[in-house]
Amino acid sequence: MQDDLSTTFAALADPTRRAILARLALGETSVTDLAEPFDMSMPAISKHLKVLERAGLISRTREAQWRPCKLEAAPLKEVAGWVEEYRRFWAESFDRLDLYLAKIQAQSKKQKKDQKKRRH
Amino acid sequence: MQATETLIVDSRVFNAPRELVFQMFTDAEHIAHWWGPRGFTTKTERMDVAPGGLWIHTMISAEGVEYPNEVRYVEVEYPGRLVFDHLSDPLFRTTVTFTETAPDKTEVRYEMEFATSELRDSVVKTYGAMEGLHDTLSRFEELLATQGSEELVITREFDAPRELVYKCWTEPERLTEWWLGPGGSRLTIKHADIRPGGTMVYGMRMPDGKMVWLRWAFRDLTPPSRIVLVVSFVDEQENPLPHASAPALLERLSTVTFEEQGGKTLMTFRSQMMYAREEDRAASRTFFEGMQQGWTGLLNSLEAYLKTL
Repeated sequence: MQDDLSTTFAALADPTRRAILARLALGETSVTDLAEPFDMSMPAISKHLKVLERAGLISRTREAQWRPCKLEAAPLKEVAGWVEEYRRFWAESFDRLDLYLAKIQAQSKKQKKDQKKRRH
Repeated sequence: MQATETLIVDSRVFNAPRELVFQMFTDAEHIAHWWGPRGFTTKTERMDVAPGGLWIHTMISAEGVEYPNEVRYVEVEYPGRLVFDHLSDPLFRTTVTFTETAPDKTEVRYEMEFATSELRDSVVKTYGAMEGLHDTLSRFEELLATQGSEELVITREFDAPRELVYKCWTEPERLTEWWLGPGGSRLTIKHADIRPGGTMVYGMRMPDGKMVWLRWAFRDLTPPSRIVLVVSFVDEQENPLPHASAPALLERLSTVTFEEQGGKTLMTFRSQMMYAREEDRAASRTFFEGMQQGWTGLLNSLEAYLKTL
């Protein structure tokens, strides 16, 4: 699982590639149409598409002459899940620390109170 | 201690090319982050790295106490040797030599020479110069190892005195009450030697039933304000796992600090990959961007798309 994720993360590291993915989320698009909003040469765009393709984030149809690009959702879903898991791990750990602190402080307060009572 | 002892010496091997190590010793921007004992920051007013040039700087302790310093460079031989005199009291000469011991490995020998052994001894006693130098080189290594790596920063306020919060991190029986494996499984602590230079090894049971072993190597424990540790994944025999291609499995430098704020404790947790390759850094940047804010826009538009599948 780890190695695949690594490739996916590396592919997502670039803002242009993320923008390409966001565009593809709207539907299949030709390379020419994809390149249009970017101030970039076709070879540069092709390079980005290759990285995305290698990471399994997009696929390109061989049959159709205009070879449309299509978003592949599975690896992205996996990445989003992994990030969420990691975020949750930290959040939950510190939530537990918070609860634990409250618990031990309440206990020691109660002990002190009980001791006081006994003394009276 | 011998009466003729006028030196304070420490040396360390760093996993970096000599040119880079030298550069980090002579760049004010870099020095601000590692110069001096832990907790210190260094503000440079002037830095002219050339024979006869001055480095005027102020070291500021964690408590905000300022220590003005003036240094004059005597020898500057890129990338092998640096000699400078400390002009403000106490007077001493520092010689730093940079030796390439293997490709991308540099040994730094740091030597401070005092006029008399009495002066040297008093600096050791008054300023804790030995520990200070040790700290400085450790911080340098940490900065070198984490250069360019994205930092995960989490801050949290706890309604408890910081002594107690600190204990929750450093006493195994307290730590295991809240530091659990994914899915809430209890840790298996193999051994715990919680002191600077000591290590703790523990296992986490993963949801798929597999055990994952981690090692915490403590670099600094300053109760109740600071913990610095290196987290790495090991096997059950405590051998480090072979260099993992996955950024999540790389060694991480983690720092936890505790600040008192009106009876409450502000905890800051920072974590960074060590000795990451460029592609690991890129991957981890994306990871943390995703975690903290970054591509929520992308994920939102994707979410809509995913629903249509």
